[in-house]
Amino acid sequence: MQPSMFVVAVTIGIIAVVVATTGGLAAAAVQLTKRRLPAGSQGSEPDVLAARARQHDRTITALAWWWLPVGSVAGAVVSGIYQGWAFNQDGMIDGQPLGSDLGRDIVGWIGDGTLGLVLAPLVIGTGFLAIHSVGERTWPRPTGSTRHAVLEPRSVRALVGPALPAWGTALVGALLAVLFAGAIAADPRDSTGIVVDSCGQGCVAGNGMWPGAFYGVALLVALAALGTLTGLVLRAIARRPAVAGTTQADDVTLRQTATRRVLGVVQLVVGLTLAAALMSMGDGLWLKGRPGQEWIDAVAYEVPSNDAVATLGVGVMLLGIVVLLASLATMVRSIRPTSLRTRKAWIVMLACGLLAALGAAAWLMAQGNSVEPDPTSVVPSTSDSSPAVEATP
Amino acid sequence: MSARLEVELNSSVPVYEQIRAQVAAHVASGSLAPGDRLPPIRTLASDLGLAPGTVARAFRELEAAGVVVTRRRTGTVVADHAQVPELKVRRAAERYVAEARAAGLSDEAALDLVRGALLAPT
Repeated sequence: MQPSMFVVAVTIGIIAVVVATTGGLAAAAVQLTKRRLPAGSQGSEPDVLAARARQHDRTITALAWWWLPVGSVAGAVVSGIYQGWAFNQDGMIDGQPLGSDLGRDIVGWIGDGTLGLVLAPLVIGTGFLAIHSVGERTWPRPTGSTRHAVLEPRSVRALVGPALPAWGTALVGALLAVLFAGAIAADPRDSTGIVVDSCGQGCVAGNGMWPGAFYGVALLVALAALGTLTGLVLRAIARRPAVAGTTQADDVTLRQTATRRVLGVVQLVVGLTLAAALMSMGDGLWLKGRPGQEWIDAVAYEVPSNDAVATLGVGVMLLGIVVLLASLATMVRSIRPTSLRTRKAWIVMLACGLLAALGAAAWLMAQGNSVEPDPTSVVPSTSDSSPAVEATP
Repeated sequence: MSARLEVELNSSVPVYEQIRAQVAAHVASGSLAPGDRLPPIRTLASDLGLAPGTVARAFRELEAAGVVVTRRRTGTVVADHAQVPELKVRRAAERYVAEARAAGLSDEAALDLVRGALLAPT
């Protein structure tokens, strides 16, 4: 079987497993969270409608939360497989290319797989929002012969409050500033920002994660999709029918809880992306401040090389860590796990996430170690874990 | 407390007419003041589980009667010149409802009494 066919088959298989796993987990979550109505449907009509609405909310919430670790693991596995394959497509041993023409075309188009890792938080956040969007649009409609409504408009602004949007806007603004600065500082001779130095036949350059135009444009597209979907989901939450049998205050509380949950995850994925961009930029600046770093010399072409830049790089990396911790804290605050049951679910969720992260890291390390470059023909990058590639003259 | 709507689908009164009458009654009683915004048609239709056209027809009737106006940016609001009865008349109506309920009359029976009083020669 051709390597490209193998990768396609494995990827399709993994996607099928992820879909089946997600569906199974969703079904299990529904069963676990299901609370039987008193004596079937013999309760009063508002009780039955309210139970249906709450059941729907629990199902969507469980499915959306499960998506976060499942999507992360699936993304890491697919990205790891792709990175291993991309290395074989682009690598050269004894002057002979390892991969096919098609493989090199694919790698030339979407890079070596690091783009997938960079986009992962925003893509996973978009999946979370898509699940919520479907959930809000399938919210149980009122039934029965008597219907109620409140003659008061519900605005997204009233549900959201001022704090979370201000924090989210600050994160998005900071991310745009970092991407803009990264694109300005990158080598103008190379629009991709990956392969960097035109130093002639036989010269080898590494590729790295400088937040330049190659990653920046893709991140902007993903950010726009995330922002659009966030607006649609928040509007759907504001417009969905009220839960029958609840007071207006309880109804507002339910909507605010859903809104905070959505915004908490959105600010988390934007915060993760910003933290990654800051840390990669800080790493690049730190390396730039030290002599002999060929890779970053070429990528961050416009950045001077001195001790101040190295110190600035350390500061930017620390800022990235602060952003990461602040986003995590904001998400925990935004969902406010109050009941013992919710806290237990959170502990299980965090344990799953930790295991998933460890598994993904182990997988990536195994992928990285599976193909050893020939040291006589390929010079590894001095600053990046990504495999080195031969530069195009 | 916010003004509420309650529609009965099995009633002989068309649903759009129930909505129109109840919104007009809220304006007349002062529950909705001039300048108050009403929910968008789609939101109200979603809350009531009705077709948007049904709510739109009720809003059109209210607009034709001068009870509400539709503005491009703010949506449907209670008209500034909507006819709101004087305070003492509204208070009298509230006292009547309280006495009718204290006497055990149903809402329909209380309305019949008012209709009878309106039909009586002055």
